[in-house]
Amino acid sequence: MTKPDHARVLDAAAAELRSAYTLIADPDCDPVTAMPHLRRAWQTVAWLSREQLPPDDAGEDLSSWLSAEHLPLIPDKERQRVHRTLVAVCRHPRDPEPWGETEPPPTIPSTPALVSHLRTLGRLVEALRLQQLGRPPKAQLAMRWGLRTAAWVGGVTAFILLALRPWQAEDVGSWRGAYYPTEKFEGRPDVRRDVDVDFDWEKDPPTDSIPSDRFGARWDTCLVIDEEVDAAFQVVSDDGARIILDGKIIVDNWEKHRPTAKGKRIPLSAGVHHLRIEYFEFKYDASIHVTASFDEDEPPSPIPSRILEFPGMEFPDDANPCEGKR
Amino acid sequence: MSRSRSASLGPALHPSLDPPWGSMHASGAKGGRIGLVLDLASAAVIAAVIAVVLLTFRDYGITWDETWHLVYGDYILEWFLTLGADTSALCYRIDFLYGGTFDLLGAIVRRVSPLSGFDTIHLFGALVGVLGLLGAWRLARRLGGPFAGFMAVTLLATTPVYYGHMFNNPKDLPFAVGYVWAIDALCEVVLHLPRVPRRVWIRFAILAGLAMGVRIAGILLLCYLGAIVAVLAWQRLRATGSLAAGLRTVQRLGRPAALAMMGAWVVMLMPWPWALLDPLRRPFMALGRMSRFTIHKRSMPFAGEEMLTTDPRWDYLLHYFGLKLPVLVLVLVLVAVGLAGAAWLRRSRVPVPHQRARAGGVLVLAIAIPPLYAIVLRSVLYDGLRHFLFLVPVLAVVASLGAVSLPRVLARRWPAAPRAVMVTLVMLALGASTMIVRQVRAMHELHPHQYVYFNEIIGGLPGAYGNYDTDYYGNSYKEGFAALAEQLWRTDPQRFLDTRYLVTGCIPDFIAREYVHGNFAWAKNASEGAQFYLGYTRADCHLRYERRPELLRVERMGTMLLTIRDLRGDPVAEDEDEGGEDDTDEDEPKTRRPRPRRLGNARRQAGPARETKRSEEADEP
Repeated sequence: MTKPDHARVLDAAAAELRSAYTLIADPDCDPVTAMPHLRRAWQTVAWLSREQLPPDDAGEDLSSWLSAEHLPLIPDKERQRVHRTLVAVCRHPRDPEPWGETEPPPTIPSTPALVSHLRTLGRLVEALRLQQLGRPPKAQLAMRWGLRTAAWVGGVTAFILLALRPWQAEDVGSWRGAYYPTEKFEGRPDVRRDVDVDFDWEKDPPTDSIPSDRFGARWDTCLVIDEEVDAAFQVVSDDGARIILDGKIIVDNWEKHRPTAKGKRIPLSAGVHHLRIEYFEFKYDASIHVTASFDEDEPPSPIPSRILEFPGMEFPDDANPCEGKR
Repeated sequence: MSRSRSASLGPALHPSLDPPWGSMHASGAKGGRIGLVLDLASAAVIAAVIAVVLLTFRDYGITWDETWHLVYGDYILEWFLTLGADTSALCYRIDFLYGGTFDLLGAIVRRVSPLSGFDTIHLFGALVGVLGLLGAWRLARRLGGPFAGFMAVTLLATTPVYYGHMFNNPKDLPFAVGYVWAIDALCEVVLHLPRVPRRVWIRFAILAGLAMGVRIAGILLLCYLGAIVAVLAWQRLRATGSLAAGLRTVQRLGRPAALAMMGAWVVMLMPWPWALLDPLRRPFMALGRMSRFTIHKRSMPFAGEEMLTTDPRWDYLLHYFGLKLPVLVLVLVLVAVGLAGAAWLRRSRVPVPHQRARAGGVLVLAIAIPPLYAIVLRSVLYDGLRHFLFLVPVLAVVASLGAVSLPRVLARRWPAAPRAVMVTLVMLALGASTMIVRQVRAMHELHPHQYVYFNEIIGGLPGAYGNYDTDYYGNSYKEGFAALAEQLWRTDPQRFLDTRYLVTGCIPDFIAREYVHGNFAWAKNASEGAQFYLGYTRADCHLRYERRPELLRVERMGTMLLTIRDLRGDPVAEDEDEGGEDDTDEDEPKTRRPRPRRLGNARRQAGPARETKRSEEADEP
């Protein structure tokens, strides 16, 4: 008889185990029909372990089936139970006649016991497979572990970020907004940080303590320009607004009106510039939208925060808060 | 853990058939390595899609249904946060008839996201779409191995109608994702028969519930499960001739199946406030309402004719699936169906089919039942195959199985001519690769309007123009508004800086206001002083104000998706004003003109005047 190769025997073991499981798992099947498959599965294991077929019966113990090297694969406390099931399997006739026996059939272990036995046998076959064919490629193992690690690290990071949500903190925004109760910037202002100068209050007040009409607002930020550029600034407001760059008014629309656009293109040198927007609301609807373009091919859009720097919350009205930045 | 098996022992045992202790395949390391390479290739495709999504999600516009669903998601969240005190979610338009799986998750994600609301939901939706790729990969790999998985993910990622909807479709796309995952879970159930582990039932319950929680139509998944139990009982009865045996099968499988259905029902109800208040009746009321959705009655182009949405031709879906899926997918689906049919005929005498045949049966149910249901009940159909988008991932899986089976069949059929078979296969692989590359190019060309894609059978998008719906969801408006601003800026920058432009268009107010910023403002009607008009091709919007000069067009492949007209000059009189909103929403245009048809390159006037109906409930099923 020619000796089959290990891969073929392992495949046979897998097939027998699967057949045994299918028959044991199906409540409509008598578990006894799984016995021949279980027996053949054990035979393949014995061949893989000892390179010879086992005796016809179950033998005295599992050493008839497994070499000393593989016996420890089954824990000590399980060996007796496994062997008992194996004895029951071997006692079952190999080719039973379907119309019945003259002698009472051998006792079959319960279905849970058989499933447990299959698990043990499965682990054994898997261990023999690893021994015979080697472990899965390192790349596969690395990928599996890499994915697991990435999933855990990603999950924990996402959880921490979502719990803290640093991007939703109140102290974000590159603009210092000062809201005054009069359109002449008199009185004590409400000061806060704003992400953008893009408001449409309609008939509502900008803050709780500021009236909805006849109020003023001033926004300051530091505009960081890396290289000289032709810039365009635009303000669309209802009512008056003006844009002040480094203390000079560059866009002046300081009068009462419905939503009106006004803008100007100016060359901007590299460096940090103090950009201030002033606005007043007289009556009815209130809105202001400030946009800018730093590329002559692009129409104005909200000024990106990456080129803005927060000037600080406290500084005198006539001071340049951007002095010394960068 | 290796999954393959030596060829001498017959067809590969499928991983899902593994007993609970794990894989037993001897499997050579060689097969394992090929599988690993294919899995890595699938991962690379998914990674590439994620990268493209991250780079481009801001390019996509706001579609008609998005805003409603965003608001509905907020209402659901408020209902839970206020412990039911805020009841807005219970009566919001007709959205309360939808489960809130996607909308609620979207609302939560928007609350924690650093991006704007629409950017967030577009990114979130796209990542859900990527989950759909993963679902298709998993299902195909389960049924056909690593190569099928790779093919499925590649074919689906290069199916423009799926990819294009990933970003801004808040219901059809999430439902498609839930559906393919639930079908995967159902196949897992079938492959584990006769004894299905509890975890498999639980997985099916969760995934089916999530799908049903997006659209109640997912209840079909429970019907499939019931049908499987019934078929198994029938097979048992036929095989044994014993009614008792058949009933035992029902008893044995019916109990866990019923529990899984109940579990799915609970998962579906959880994010759905309206249904939670009457969990047994209201989901069925929603199902009944959705099955008789007639409030969106209007005409649409179909095969060069005008057709009412409420009276679609029986072959409506056949046309759209035949013309909007890539040709490669269609060919491979036909191959798969042909091979499966031949195999079924060969095995027809076997009383109990193999598990994989049963899994194939699940795929047949998943693909055939919904269109048949729509045809038999004459459901309202419009917007191409948008409502049947959920079939696309499953079709990609079927196509991948066709791709896997073809080499096996050729090798089996001509064992004596391995070289000829090899040459044939290499040629086929080259052809398929070329077609996939062409798909990617077409998607790049259409970006970000991939869902308007039509395949080569009709001559691409140019061939479909005028004959079928193209940009039915209004994605091109975003590009239109941006193009208008750029054009005005380029023409006269100083004038641009000192001017506040009034714009109108065939688009709902609440979406238009998301696009008009800075010195652009929205006018409901042109007669209110609008200087520009934007109109897409649906509902003949591009034909309004035809006497006014066309300033710009949004085009793809030389085909117009949207036109921008210059209304400056003579003021628009009220009788010239034809309304400023799209017919998909509350304000229906007042008058209609006959629709021009274009068959091939010929443009001619034809077709009946459109029948319109004002709708208070503009949402779409």
